[in-house]
Amino acid sequence: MTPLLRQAAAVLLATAVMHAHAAPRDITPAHDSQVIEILPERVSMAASTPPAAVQAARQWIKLARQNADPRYLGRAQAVLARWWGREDAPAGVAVLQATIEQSRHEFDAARRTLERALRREPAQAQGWLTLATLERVAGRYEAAAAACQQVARYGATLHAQACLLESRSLQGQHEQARRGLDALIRAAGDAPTRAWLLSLQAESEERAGRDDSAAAAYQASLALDADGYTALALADLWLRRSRPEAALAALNRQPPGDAVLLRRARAWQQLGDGRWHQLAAQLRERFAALDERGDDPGLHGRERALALLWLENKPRQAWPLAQGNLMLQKEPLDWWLALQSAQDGARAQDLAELVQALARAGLQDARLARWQPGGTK
Amino acid sequence: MNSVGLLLSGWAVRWPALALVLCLAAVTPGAQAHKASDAYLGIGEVAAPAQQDATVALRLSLALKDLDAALPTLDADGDRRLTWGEVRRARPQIVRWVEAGLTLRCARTAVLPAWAFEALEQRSDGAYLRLAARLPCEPQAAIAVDYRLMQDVDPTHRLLLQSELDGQLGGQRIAAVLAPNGRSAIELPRHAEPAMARIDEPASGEPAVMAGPAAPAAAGGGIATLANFFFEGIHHILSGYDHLAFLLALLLPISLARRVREAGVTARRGGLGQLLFTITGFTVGHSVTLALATLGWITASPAWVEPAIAITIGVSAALNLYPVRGLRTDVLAAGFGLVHGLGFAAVMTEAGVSGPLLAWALAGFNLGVEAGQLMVVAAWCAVHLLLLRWSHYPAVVVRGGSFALLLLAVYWTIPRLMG
Repeated sequence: MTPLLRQAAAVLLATAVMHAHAAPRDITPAHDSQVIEILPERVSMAASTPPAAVQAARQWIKLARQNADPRYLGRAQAVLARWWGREDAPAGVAVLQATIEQSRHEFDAARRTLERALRREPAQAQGWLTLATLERVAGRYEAAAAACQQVARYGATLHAQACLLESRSLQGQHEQARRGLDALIRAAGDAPTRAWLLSLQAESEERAGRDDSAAAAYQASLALDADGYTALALADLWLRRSRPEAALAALNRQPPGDAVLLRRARAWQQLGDGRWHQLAAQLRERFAALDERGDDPGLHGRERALALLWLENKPRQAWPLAQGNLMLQKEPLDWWLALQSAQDGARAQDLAELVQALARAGLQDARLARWQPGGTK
Repeated sequence: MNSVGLLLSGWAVRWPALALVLCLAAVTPGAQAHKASDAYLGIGEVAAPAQQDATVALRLSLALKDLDAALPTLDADGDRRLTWGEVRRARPQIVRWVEAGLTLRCARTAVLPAWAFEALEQRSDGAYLRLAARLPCEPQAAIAVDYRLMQDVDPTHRLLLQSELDGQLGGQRIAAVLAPNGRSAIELPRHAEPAMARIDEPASGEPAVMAGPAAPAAAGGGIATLANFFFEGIHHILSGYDHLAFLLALLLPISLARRVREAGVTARRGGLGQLLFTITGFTVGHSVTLALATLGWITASPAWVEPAIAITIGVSAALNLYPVRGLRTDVLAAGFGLVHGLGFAAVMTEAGVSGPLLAWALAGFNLGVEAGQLMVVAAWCAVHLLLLRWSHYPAVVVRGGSFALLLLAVYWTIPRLMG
């Protein structure tokens, strides 16, 4: 009996025994100075002028991102409450409303809010940039490029160029995107902008099938700014290449949101570490909590479908969620998720329709090559 | 141009980071990390109230992160590390805030329950504070809840209202979602026959509200109580990880094979006989104390019962590793069963059952525990028979498992002793 086997058996047993740990658990503090909860920095809840409200809302949005805690999106909405949903809201406030809406995956509401604000006050570079993102996520690359042009028109040249290059890269012009982004990165002054451009470069390289170059760019971006989205993208790359340790390292500094837990579970599963069962149970519990509060399950379709496909190997159950999610957002990962679920779930008809839809959308991505004409993988 | 200029000058410092927020939040799964802010209100019938008119029990759980936003003085020293001392001292203030924002009515008359701190609890999105109260309502009087807490702090905040597992309200199971800024009120009738909960004030928002008939609770009397507590018993043993761990510690050394006697492995009695004797021992032990404690003939403090339960696991696991000659497993199981019975009894005490239904509840709960236990034993037998021929079985499953249980027991014992 090797020590390793014995250890594995012990971990398995311990996991099985502790598995039933679901309901809220009472905390019994031992002494007055025991810390019960870590609170976020204080942000004003009583902003009376639009600039003050915008400032406070931005801080809440930042906290929501940093802590992967959507509760703070509700606070951001509260400080914008006086203008929320109003026709005559200042454009800067409306742009933030759209940001909050898109963070909750309410993409249609976000687009309506933005379009309304930009009709009244078109001189909003940030508003056009956000609209371009929404169009890209919806798979409308021409509309995205048009919004990017507006960003340039209202003065944000660098962001406009990056915006256009990203749209072009999605449509398969990887070489052009690479050269353009390289030039922008060389010219970019401050660290956050460089980090952002590097993450765009990384995604473009990954779509072009150059994983090593992509990983290097992701890492360079993360070294400048430990952004959660970039860390998830890098983790996905490593998981795809069956490098679970590297995936875990990429997620090291990230707060335990659903997407992070899901990827950790997947990495542990690839490593044969039994702890992935606990994480999978924790995820199921979180999804149940969302259902309980009456949230639309479709808004969390990506993580739910990925969990079913990756962790539970249930492509047939993943399929309807993956299909619904693709109606909501059409990033490469969402296409992959739907195509893989249809293929593994032996849904030939659905798969054929998806392949056609992908061709119509015009997205070019090495990860989807086997479903694209002339694809090899 | 001017406003763009201002915006762009802002970009130089803050916007790139924010441009990231704005551009990427849309495509960031991380931003959709978990769930927005919720509070939980459990509501249930007190089966046999001490006072005739205190018939409804309430439990309200509030996230400390939400309390912090509503009550700026909660984190008294402002270091953003909320300590138990700060929470403890703020309890009266928290209760006043709850009283102001949560209105309760019995048969259309406003009532003010005496909220008291019950516990801190850990949920999937952070630490919560739980308050409890008894609602001075006449039996059968409809209850109205109007929830306005967090109204100005977070328009997406929700109250998840649920009937408590053991005390359904007027014989029906309730699950409703209240929104402080939208549908904030609900009326809960308490007829014996199933009825739909009615919602007042459909102002705005889109909270889902469901209420409907549950198991025939109130009508059937004794049999219904027995059935309810039977399922409660099954649930308790299957979700009570420490009882399962103890059961596993007892089961591990038993071998159902005709002749498996390997050096270093304890096969004290061996075979089916030992299995039956051991399980019967545990059953007799915990049934005795469960009955005595539920009927109020003996009382035991969780302060020593909880660590003692953990210790029984550790001792049983250690005896698997270092057997003591002449010690009978069934006697040990019966002795330790006495301790576990006191743990089971805590569930019954919390349920607050008394009076003529108590015997039914006790019988149902005990039968449920035994049924759950039989399921576990059956599952273990299946696994055991599958793995039995594996040459490493004694070393990995019996010794490795016992070792793991021993570690687990130590891990559980220490905080329970400190707490």
